[in-house]
Amino acid sequence: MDSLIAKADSLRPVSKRRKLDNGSSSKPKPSGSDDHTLHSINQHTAVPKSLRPTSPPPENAKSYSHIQNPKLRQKLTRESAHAARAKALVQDAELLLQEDAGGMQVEGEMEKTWRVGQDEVVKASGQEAAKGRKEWTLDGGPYRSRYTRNGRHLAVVGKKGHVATFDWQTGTLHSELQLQETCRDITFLHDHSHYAVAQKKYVFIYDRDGVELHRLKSHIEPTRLEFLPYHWLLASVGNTGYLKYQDTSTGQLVVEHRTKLGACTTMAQNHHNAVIHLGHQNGTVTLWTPNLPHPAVQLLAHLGPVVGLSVDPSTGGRYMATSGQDGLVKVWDCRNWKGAVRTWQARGGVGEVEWSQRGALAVASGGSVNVYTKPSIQTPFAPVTPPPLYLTHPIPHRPLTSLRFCPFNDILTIGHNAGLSSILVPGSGEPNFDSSEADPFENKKQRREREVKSLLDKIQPDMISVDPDFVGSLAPEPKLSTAVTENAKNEIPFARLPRYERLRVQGKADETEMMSADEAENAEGDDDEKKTKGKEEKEKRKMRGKNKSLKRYLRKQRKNVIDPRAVAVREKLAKQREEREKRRKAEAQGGEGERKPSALDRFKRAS
Amino acid sequence: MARAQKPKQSRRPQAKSLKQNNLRGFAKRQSLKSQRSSKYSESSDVYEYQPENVRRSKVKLQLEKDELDGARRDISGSEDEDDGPKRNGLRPRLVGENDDEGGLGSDEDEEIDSDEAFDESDEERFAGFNFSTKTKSVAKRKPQKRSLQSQNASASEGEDSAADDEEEGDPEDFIDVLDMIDGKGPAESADEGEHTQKEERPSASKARVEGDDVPHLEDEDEDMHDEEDEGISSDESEEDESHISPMDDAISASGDEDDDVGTSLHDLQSFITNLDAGQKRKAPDDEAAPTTETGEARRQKRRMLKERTEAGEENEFAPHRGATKLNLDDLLNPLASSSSNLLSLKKSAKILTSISAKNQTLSAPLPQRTQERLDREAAYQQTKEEVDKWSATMKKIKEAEHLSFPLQAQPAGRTSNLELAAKFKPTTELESAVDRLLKSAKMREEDIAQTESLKMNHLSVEEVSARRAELAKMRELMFRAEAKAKRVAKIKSKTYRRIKKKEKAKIAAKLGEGSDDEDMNEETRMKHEVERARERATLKHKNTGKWAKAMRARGDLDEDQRRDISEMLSRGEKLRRRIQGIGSGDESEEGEDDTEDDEEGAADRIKASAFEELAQLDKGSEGEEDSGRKGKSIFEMKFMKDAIARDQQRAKQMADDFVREMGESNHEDDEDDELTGGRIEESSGATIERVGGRVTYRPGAQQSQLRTVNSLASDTSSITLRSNDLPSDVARSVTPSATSPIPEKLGIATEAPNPWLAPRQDPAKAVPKKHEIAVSKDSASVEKSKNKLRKKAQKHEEEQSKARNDAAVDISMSNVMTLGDNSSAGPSKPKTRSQSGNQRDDGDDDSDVHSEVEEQERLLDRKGKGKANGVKAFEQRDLVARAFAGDNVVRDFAEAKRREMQEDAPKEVDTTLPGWGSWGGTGTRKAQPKPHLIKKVAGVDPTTRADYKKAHVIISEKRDKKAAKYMVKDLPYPYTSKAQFERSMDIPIGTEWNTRVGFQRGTLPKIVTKPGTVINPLEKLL
Repeated sequence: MDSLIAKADSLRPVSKRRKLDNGSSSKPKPSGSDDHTLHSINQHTAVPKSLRPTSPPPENAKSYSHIQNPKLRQKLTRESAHAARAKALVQDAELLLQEDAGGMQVEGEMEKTWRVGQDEVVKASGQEAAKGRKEWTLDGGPYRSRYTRNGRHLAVVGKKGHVATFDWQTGTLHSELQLQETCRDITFLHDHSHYAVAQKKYVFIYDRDGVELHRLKSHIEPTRLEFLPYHWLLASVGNTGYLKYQDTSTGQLVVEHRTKLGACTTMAQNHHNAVIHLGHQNGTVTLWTPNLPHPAVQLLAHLGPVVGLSVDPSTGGRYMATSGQDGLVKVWDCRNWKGAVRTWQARGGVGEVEWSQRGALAVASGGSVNVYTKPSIQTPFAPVTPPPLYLTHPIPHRPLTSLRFCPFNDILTIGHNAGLSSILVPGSGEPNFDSSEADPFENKKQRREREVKSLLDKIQPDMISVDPDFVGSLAPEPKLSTAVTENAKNEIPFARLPRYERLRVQGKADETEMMSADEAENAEGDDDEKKTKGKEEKEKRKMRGKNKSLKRYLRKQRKNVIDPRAVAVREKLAKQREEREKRRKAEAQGGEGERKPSALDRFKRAS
Repeated sequence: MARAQKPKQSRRPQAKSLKQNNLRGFAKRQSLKSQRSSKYSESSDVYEYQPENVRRSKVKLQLEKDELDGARRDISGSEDEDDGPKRNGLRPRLVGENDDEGGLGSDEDEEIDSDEAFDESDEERFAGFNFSTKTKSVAKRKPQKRSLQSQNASASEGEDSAADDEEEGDPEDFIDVLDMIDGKGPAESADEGEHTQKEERPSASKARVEGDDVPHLEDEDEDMHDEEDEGISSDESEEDESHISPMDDAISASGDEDDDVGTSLHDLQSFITNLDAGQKRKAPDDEAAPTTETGEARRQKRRMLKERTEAGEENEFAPHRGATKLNLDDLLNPLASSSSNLLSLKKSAKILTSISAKNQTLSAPLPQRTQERLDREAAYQQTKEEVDKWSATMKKIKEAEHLSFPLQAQPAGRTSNLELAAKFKPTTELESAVDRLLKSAKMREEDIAQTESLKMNHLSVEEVSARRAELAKMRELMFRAEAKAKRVAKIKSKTYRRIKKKEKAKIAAKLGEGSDDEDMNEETRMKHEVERARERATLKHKNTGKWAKAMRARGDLDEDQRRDISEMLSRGEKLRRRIQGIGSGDESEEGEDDTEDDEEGAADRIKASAFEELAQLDKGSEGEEDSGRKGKSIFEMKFMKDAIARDQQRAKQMADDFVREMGESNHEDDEDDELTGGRIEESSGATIERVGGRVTYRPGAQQSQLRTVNSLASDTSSITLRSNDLPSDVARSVTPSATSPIPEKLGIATEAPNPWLAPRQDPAKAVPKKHEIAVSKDSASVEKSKNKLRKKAQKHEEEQSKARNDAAVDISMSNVMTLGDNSSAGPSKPKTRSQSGNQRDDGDDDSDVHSEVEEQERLLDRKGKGKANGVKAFEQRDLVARAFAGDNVVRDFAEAKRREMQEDAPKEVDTTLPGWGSWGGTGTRKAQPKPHLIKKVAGVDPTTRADYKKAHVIISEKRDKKAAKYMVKDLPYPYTSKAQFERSMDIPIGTEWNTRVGFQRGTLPKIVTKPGTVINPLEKLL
């Protein structure tokens, strides 16, 4: 019986026939054209007609052809195509933003925009735009002002306690209060229906009609207020040097940070990442988030107290401008903090600084307000010279206490001792507003809806970070290291390694993009080392070889019965190996071993 | 097994008489078989495709081998008694039990199925085997062939054979039944064996011819073992029963008797062995045996079954095979007694004998492992093919980005009006009322059809069809026309409408032309009248008007129309004269010209006429000045005259502009030259003087003259332009240009307030600046110092300096290059100018209100001079500022940073408790810190800090624990690199960052189901 089976097994045509059959059966494979079932599902397996791309995918979509796993490859290709397409769509949609930012342009080198005065600007601009030029002469000390996010409403507060909120375009006054005590700052909350005033001792919240709603007792002697609209946080800093965050939707005091740097009178928010910037008496600027009890960044900006601080909203919070009592104005790059991008001396002492939506920087210096425009203030320039001036406006009433650009308008409102004056700064405001974000023309119903919506969309305060894109990203490897343990990583067993490490060890990780990223610089040095190491690792983890056909045959042949044929094959293999080994050895010795003994060998001295 | 054993032992006493029984029992058995086979035919089909078959066959093979041993023993020892126990002893080795018995009892039905399972490939396997003439199982084939005559063709093969036998055995049938009543039933099986034996040979030979029959042999072998569970057990039980009541057995257990080909094979073998010896003995035995030795026969059958497999190659039988050549006649001989039987049998065997000439070897059956493998392969192929039909579809579904269930739903078409109308049933009151009305009026759809049919009744078929066709055509045409009209009515294009209207008019005109004037109906005439009136009203009194053209186009005109036209023309002329008359009167010549023009100008160039008109206007105005004969009324008054003059001037200006624009000057150059020449004459005196002023380089030129130059320049260019172009402008004005009409504008231009000139300090500033740069660029420091000196020295009256300025600029522009350090008055002046301007600024404003402006000015200055100076000054100021600003701020900050770094850096902490594990007290040496007590605290290496080498900044490296919960800790599953994951997270999904389409596409669900619909499995469509 055994012999019979063996005989049958030795008959190989079976497998051969199988292969043949496979080949023949695969031939009449139903082609897609005449497959009715396939046709019947075609419509319901495709993307809906309305969403089908009308154009071929953009070229800039990244290709993932090198990835072997077809599922992943498909997923990634799809994702990248979608990203590229979405981007293209957004770009197309930008065609709809037809409003053009104004601006002054010179015709020749000899002409200077700063020579154009306000009356000329007013004359040259349209009737509606010209309305922005206003002078409010008010008693009650230096004034500060604040616009709502849609630029429609203005709140002003005088040092002596005069508070007014109004729609500056229609001239309707919402509320006017005489608070009879020192008021240092004012800010609207989520919209014009509520506003907070930093008064002598506490922060108070009033509603649109001027009714006092809350007294925030925890904010003591506040000097500056900021409202973070997406987080619904009211941040205040005061003479006590505490930075406090109050959630205006729940009323909780979220967190309070002790700055340890004394009284603070300068505060700004980065609209991009909701980080609060504080300017201190010792010339440092500190960046705060609710999460960290210490500043995320501390910057020695000036050699005297910092008096003005603003972050550029046009570049995604990339640039920060500071002004100090030392008379310098500096522009910083917030991404790398590699020193000031541009520094200049402002004459007659510097006051506040303020960026507009489109990146015009207003600096209150001495008795005038100077406005600089974008490319020059943000290009690195070593000498301490002022950038070319865009516009200047003298104001005789010192001090100039506040500068505010009106959103979506070319208006700069300057608060000073004798009230407020609004000047026109052509090209400073964003011409195209996003009505779902901030609509200057919204009606009551829209306002209500937006209020609810923004409440629903409220972000948690602990999502504030210097890098706002961190949410959902891969946690960076901690920089922590101990001085002594050098190869701690190697000690972690394979199973407990993070997935990426495991993939890398297995050789499955896609490392094509890694080098191009941030690791490019430091990878160069230990490239070879890494390579060899990786190879070793790979070999170690490698599955037992499945490659050679002969080996496969042997494996299949492996059975209890010792077959003379198998034995022969095995022997042959061993022989081959031996030979190879021999040859290699011979080669290593430089062919000495192979050399035939010659006749002259006999004369060789035996060594 | 044990159960199966019993009956055998009981049968033993009746051994050996089997052969005699064979013949007698044969016919009986066959008849019974035929009866039963029909009953079981269905069940045969049931078994056919059961997968167990294969398994059983496998079992059988092993058994066979065992049996082989048993058979050997049987034959050699011929000890029946031993047989049972021996086999029992063998049993444990067998995989499938009961098989020997099962083989015996295996059903005829199964033959059939296994038969069919076989194919040609198997046949090949048999090739190595030589089948002797004695191989029995082939037998079945022969009857099958014959059966075609009588039996229904559709019956399975086994049945066929049985049926054939039935035919033959008809007469004996009755006897058999009687026998059975007597208890002879069991003998049948033995008979069957014999019978088959006889038939086998011819059929075997036939099998050689017919390929598909051959496998049958082997099938039977296997089939015997096929039924492990049901078949065998039932057979065995039946056998037991038959022992007790043979009648039952004969009737019911057809499985035994009918099917056991294996048995019959064996019977055949044994029969053959006995043939030579016991020919004569057979007949008597036949009569005697049946009643008594049924048990024996059965026993025999069983035993022989074991040996059946030996039929192939076994040595024991080899001599038989080789020595005797068995004829069909030999087999048929025993039947000689029953002549009718023999006859029919011979008849049927005739065919076989002819074929059985050649012997063929049959290949051995495949080992069942191989067989199974083949079966599996075949099955796999089948399944694969079946499944492959789905592969494309499944691939599509698997790869689809979006699935909307049900997948095979057909898009529902919209319901047509007809459908709706057909379904309509009045429900509301109104509807029913309307319906009633319609009904009463016989206007409903059905009624109409009915009436139509009534009408059609007396028409022939052709007529009806023709009418129908006509109707259909009409309807079609109407429908098309309507559709077209609708489409056309929707067109909003004005041009289209205009074109359409014109076309219509043309058509109408053509129609009108075709007919006579009298034919022209009232309407068209009215239209013409209206047209004419309109033309008159709009004062288009030229021959270019629509109406006039139409008239002209008509060619031959009658008296009336001619008069009309001439009237119109004259009227137009008059009117034109009137128009000119507002300004002045007109000359008769002009009028003539005009008329001439009109008459001759068929296709008049508008441009030319416009120029003509212009020229005439000019002339007219001039003429008016001379004569003034027409102006009698208020136009004579002075203010009116002034106004007119102003108007005229403006008009002229416009005309000039126009002329220049059109570039059509050549035509009136002569006149213009005349005109301007005169004017230049009058103004040239002044220019020349100016020129003289320039030549002398005197600043003391007359202000008014300078003004004119100034304003002259300002006409054409803005401030900057002026400052730049001034020299050339002046030069242009110096050389009298013939073509420029500027002088004419002069007066007005100077009067007109230029908004850009109004607040002018700036241009004055700008000019010297440029000049300054020019100076500094190629002059040395000596020059600069000289400039300074000059600045101090020169004090002039403001107005004068301003006036002089321009002249000075001109000079400098020409001089700078040549003069070098020549200290003429020129270069110095602008400096003074700027200085004075600055002073004035300072004077009237707060000291640092304009500080930035000053700064900017200074910057500009510095740019000219070279930066070094300014920067140095700045540095000094900066240094001073640094010196006095803040107290130790920098040092404090550095200290803070150092502390921070130290705090974060990795540390080693010695956790040794002093006094523990060591001696204390005076004089003890401090012990070395033990390594296990040194705790290593992980930290951030200073060199890896983000603020490394940035002295002015401290970037916190502490981990943000609260934010960490928003981060992904490990690379999520499908991604194989960080970049992949990050890119996928980069795409914002929300509506705020996407367009509508982008958003919807990005959030498209993978699967969408229609709520409330059943999702049926996919259907294969062909």
